[in-house]
Amino acid sequence: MNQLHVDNLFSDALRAKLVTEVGKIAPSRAKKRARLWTGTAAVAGIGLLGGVGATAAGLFSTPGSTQVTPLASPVTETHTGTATVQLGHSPEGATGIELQLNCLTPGRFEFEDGANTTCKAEDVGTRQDWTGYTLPLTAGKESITITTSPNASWKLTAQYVNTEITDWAVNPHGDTYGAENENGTPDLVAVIATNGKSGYAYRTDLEDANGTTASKTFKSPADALAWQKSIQGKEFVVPVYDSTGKTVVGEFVIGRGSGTSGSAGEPAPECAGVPPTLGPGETYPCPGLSTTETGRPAVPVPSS
Amino acid sequence: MGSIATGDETLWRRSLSGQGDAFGDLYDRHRDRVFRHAYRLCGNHHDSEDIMAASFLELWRRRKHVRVVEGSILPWLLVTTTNVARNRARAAARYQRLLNSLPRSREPDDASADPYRRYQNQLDNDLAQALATLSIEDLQLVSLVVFEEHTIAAAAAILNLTPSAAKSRMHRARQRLRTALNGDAATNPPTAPTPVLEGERP
Repeated sequence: MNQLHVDNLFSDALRAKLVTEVGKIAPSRAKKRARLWTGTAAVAGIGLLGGVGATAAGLFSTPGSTQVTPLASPVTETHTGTATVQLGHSPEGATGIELQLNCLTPGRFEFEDGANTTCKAEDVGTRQDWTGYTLPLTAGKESITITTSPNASWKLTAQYVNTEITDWAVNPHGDTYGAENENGTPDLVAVIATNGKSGYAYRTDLEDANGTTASKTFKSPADALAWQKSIQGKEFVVPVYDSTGKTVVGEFVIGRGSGTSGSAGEPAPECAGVPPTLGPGETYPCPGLSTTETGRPAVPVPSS
Repeated sequence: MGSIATGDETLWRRSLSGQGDAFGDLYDRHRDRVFRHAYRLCGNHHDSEDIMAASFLELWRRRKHVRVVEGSILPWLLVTTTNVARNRARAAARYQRLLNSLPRSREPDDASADPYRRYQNQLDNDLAQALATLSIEDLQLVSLVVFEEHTIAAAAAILNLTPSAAKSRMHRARQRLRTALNGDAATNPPTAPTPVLEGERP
């Protein structure tokens, strides 16, 4: 065949341009999260959602979850304005630097990779003053510089860690179980049931309930719309089992919002950035897709 | 737990919320198909790259109108590619500065020096010219059904046609193409009609 491939130099530059273009429309809230997750594929059990850290800590041993092992004692420093925190030599086996930033005054705080967080006066002293993520380790990296707006005070806690995605386990019936992670989804997915117990739901049950299964039979947008209509307002209850996949310990509920009416509370996060007003003939890209789930996945997955 | 449903639909929704990496993934996933399609339509390497780039930029610019069909964004993307290829001058003008700013490797060898390559280029041009005889609607259909093996139903859905209208259009378009490639259809009756896929793909 002849030279039927895209020039890599051209393609890479185009890709970078596209990624930037798309990032431009992010609403400020989404932007904060999206930026923070960028480049941190090996996200530890810390998130911007309050309380998630505790959840993950309680499920530290869930197979397939990200295991974070601290390799040195944390360094904590308090500064006002732009400053650099020295971390010392990186220990053997370190894969990242876990960062936690608390703002002590309102202001804007920027990490070296461009991720940034803005604190408002009402955030200071509350849970909202906290930002955390794991920075992938690059060779020779032994300090962290935080760039701030003038006179903004902050406290940084940083430590070298080793993050590793553990393998899923296999139960006696041959089903894999554990947390969803970047390798995919196991047969039994770790979830926390509505009664607060942790357990596992069958992937197939979840797919039936959230529309993944149905979507494979759609031949046209009309099919999809008809399906969405048929399940609107309905709730699907998925049993939650222990790791054997036989003993029920609770349930996980997947419900459907009522589309654009907004009566289901906040729009789904994936609909952020979608303009609320539509021109004639346009269809709202998110109706029916705003799945609300009760109970929660056991390990935060920064997918949206 | 949106991460359970992977695929274009999820990536597209994430793109719409401003997550550039999701759009990057869509680009990686469909780049080659779009490029090949662009090449088919214009028969020229450099132009194909421009068309491909403009198609992805158009996909994003017109994002409010995009429909995901059968869980894939590709049909929409291919329709956009066809449109861009047809309106190359206009699309190129819109993105000219951007396209010029993207770096390119230097073409390492001379296409005309290699006889096989020259022959291939001739074939590519013939096909591109034959495709140019189709109306835009027919070209869209042929692109989706013949080249990209989508079902007529899916193609009809994205082109706002009824399946039966799409079927008869396909029939006429094939005859027209045959004429353009072989000369007169009456003197060169088709022996092996282009397979048209109908029903569900495995």
